Amino acid sequence: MRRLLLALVIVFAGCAPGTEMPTREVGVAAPEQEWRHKPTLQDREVIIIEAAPQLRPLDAPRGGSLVTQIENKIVPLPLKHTDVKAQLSLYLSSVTLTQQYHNPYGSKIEAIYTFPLPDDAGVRDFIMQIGDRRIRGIVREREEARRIYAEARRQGHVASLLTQDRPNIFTQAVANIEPGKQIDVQITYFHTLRYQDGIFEFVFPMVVGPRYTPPGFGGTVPVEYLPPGEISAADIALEVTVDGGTEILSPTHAIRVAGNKVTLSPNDRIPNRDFVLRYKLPMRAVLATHRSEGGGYFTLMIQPPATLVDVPRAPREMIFVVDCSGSMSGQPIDVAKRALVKCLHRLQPDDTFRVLRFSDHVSSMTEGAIAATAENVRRAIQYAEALAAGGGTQMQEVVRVALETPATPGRYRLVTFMTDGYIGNDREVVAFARERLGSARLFSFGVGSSVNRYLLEALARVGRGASTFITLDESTEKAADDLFRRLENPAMTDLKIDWGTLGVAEVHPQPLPDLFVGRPIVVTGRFKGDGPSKIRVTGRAGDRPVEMELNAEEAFHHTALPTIWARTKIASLYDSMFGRTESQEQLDEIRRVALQFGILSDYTAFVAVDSLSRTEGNFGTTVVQPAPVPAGVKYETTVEKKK
Amino acid sequence: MKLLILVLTALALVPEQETRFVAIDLYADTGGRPLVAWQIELECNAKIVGVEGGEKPPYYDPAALQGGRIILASFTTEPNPPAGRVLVARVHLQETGKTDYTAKLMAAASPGGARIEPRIEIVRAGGK
Repeated sequence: MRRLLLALVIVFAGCAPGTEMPTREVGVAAPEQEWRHKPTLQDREVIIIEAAPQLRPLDAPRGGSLVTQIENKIVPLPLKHTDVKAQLSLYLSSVTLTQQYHNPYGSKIEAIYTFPLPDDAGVRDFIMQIGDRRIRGIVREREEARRIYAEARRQGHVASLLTQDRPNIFTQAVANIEPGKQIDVQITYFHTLRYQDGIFEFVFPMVVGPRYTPPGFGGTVPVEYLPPGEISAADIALEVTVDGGTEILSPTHAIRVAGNKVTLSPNDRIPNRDFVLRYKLPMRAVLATHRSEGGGYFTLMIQPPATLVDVPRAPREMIFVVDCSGSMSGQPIDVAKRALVKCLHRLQPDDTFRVLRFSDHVSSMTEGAIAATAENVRRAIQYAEALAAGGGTQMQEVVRVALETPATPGRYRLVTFMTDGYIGNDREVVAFARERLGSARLFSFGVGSSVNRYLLEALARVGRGASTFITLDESTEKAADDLFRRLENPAMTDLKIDWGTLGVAEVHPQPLPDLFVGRPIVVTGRFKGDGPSKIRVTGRAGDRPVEMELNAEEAFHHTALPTIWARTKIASLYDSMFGRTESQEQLDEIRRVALQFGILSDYTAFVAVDSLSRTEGNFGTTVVQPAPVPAGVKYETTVEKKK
Repeated sequence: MKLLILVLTALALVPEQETRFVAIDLYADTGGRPLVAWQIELECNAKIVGVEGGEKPPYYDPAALQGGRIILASFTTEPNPPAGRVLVARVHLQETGKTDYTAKLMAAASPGGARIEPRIEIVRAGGK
């Protein structure tokens, strides 16, 4: 036990990137504000005032770059700055995120901020900093953490609570921030990187897109947005250290690369779109391990066999589903249309296809799938080019239409969703799709600057397909090519792994995903044996059996592996319940794993209380930090319509 | 049935005990030997709501966290590690009524890994 805990200490100490606490100040302006943000957080007492003459910014405008460069009104808000430090080691990423909250008003506040993280992020560490004092938060059952926080807030203590709303949406609450004071919150998380065609991709999401929750569904997403003409003074600094890798680039932001360090350009620090970083690094099967007294944890990246591209292609029934809701209005729908046209051009004569559009309602060019004749493709391209966006996002209905229409006999049905995924009922939609999947496969094509990756990845995962993402500034042609490579080449299916002498147990994700051309998978598990080991992977590609032998050398050790394993196991447990009756046993297992590994989940939360500082009076006014509308998304067709 | 109602009424009339947030300091008295690594088990009948201690607050083992029990550990790589009566951790608690604390040293080391046996002391931390 002693060795275990000392090892744990080294684990924590070794994994978190160094943290600096920038103290630079940003300008704030406008002494009086119209507070039009409505209370939306569920089961939390939130008081949002319509007009708050008593809340006056303490700082005068300073004429900083934000003030001079943007002719928008800067509103004084609690989130002052976000600092991100990421360390990328092969396919593993450890990220330390520091959010600086301050109180620019004349009376005490509680700050609430809903923000995104990657949907596979294992959040393992949480520290609240008051001045130079740092208090490590404790992971507790969610309701218990909420009660502790509420009581500390009521008694006037500075306290913070971090909860998970969705696998990729989190809420930070900081209580009793006195006027002029600053509280920092530091979060550390780990996740695996996406790897495709020899290129790694690191994504740091910066803003939660506005979600449409259809009537009858619960679980609205508690995010408020800044209206046009107003911006927040909150900015972001980001530093990524890349171990190895060449041709480093970002399709989304202006960056500076110095050696293996990447930073955001000072001119590109408004957090209104995902940060995407890509770099080349050739990889083979790479085994990462971490050993502890209770056994070992590993991750293994498995590459698809090169022969997949030679497997004969069987006729397909391609169903393209285009999201034409209000949030896709403008640039996103244009990108989706261009991608759709590219895909239509690549249909083969023996394919059949169908194009479905949806917003409030579902409509289609045809009653069912039609042959991909030159004439039909020409008509479909005309139909695609005429698509326009507006209205809600009734995604469940389009899933029903796509999957319940009888399939063309003798063809593989492949359904591709082209969407930003801005829905609030994402889990219900994934469950609904799973129930109706049959032998179809689901592919997702995320379009936008801050798409709902959780929904798109989950659809592809339960639909035994693959996901592709395109930001608004990228080549549509390349993204459509990437998608189509996955659509037209058979995958290696029915994967089975012989782990040799590793003594492996509890491998996740379960079931093992299929291997698509150019896209490896990462599996994680526990082991008791010794490495290195010969690992045999068998499966099928079309009608052919495929066998691969991997020389999985233990390429590196990483202390994040227990966290990644725990988070992946939780995701597997949820996946197994999609479209089926929720099992209390599995929900209990999710809670047990989250508590044992000290990670954030639907059932756990981090709480930290400073018992030594007790502020005067009640807890003051709750201020919900509004987010900027994601780049490319129109406020008037999205946020206003969803109110 | 009447008895049950009486008991429930009596319970309802008992005022709910106010909880309060307090902190305790854990000291390790090394007797002059430098302290580079330590591991302490704390048990109390209160809820642990935060752990404080310098730039890098002590770590805890989430698997061992149960009610008011926590196993804390930390180490330093400083060239001049602390010695003597060292404040190793401040633990923030939510308590109801009188709280009893016990702390047990599980491991401690000086530079080079030499095992030491510092005396552990718990002191209620002062507040504002």
